[in-house]
Amino acid sequence: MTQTPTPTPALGGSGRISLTLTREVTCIRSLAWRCDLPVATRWTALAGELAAAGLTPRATQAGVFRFGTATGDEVLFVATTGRVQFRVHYTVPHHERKFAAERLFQILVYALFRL
Amino acid sequence: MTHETPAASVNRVKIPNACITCHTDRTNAWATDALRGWSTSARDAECEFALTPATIHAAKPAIDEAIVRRHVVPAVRGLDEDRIVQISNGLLEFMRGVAGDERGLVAAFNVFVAAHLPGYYNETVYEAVHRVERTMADSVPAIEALMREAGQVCVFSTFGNVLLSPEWEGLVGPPTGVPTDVMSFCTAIARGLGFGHWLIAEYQPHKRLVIQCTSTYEVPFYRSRYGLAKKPRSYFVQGAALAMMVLAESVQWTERPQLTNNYYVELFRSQPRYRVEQTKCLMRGDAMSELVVEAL
Repeated sequence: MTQTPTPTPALGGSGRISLTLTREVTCIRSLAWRCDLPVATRWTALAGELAAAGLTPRATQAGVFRFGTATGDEVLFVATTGRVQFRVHYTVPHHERKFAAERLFQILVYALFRL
Repeated sequence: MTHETPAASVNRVKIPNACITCHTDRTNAWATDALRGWSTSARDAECEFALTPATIHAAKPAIDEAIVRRHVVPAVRGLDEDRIVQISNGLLEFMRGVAGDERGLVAAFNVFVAAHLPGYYNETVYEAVHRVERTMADSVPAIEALMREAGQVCVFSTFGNVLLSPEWEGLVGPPTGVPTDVMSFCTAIARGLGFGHWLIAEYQPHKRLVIQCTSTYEVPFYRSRYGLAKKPRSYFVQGAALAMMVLAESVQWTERPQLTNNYYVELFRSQPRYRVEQTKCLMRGDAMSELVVEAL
């Protein structure tokens, strides 16, 4: 799944960026998914937008921001590298995990639109 | 051989059952139900699932802090010590904020890990090895190789996935693929996750690695339960040291490899190949444990 947010200085670039959702290399049965954002993203503002979208912020450790959903999914991002990981809860049936990851990805993309 | 039933895992010891370490998307309750569906004829008479009566364990001493302290020798500095200390302290700090889910599994560092009772591992390994030594001496090399491979698989899967995880990326940075970095990182992970105080005594890329340990979680158990060993018995660290050499030398970390079973087989069967020898062992009464890995 690929989405292209509109130009925004918050993403640190002058033009459009393309975001791609892929399986994590260490994915355990489609539970972990990944996309990468520009390092120059305004991470604190993005964190605020994700919280406004209904995600629950969890403790930030070693530069890793973590958010949870009501159903136990997680979104993590590493501010120093721009890596974003979507962790689908293990109770989500295997065939629905891709769609659960896409829903998390959409939340992220719409949060970026609002920056 | 007996195994802890899922019901016992849920009700008695509150740890994840072995079933759900493979069926990672399932619960102890699921495993309990699934086992009910097994027909009696499908069960191996030598491998029945049954609760181990508590009375069997009653006479065995608990491994308390005093026993652990008795068998731990003062830490020694190794190569790249300052960086290893800094990273392992960061990992310890990180782990304080991590909790298990309702199954007892911790989803972190790209893996599901269990906050495992070391005594469970120790008893499984050493009782099995001793039983084979007593009853089928010809098979001792085979079971020792299996126990060694358990350490090898653990380092490949767990340490490897830690190195590729976002948590590690935040703590240390993305993987560089520099062999000396990988070696130091694995040593820090071992300390941070509580495997013991491991240190790098010598490392010549592509040739030789010497890992020393002033503590491992097997030693207090073994010494208090069985006394001095007659031969080196740190099977886990033997396999781990060999796997660290392979991870440092043969994995292209910057390409973010998927650490699958197939890749494991390919990696450990391809060239260059290494052998490991344990030259010193705390369980045998030596001043520390030492593992020497050399290219074949």
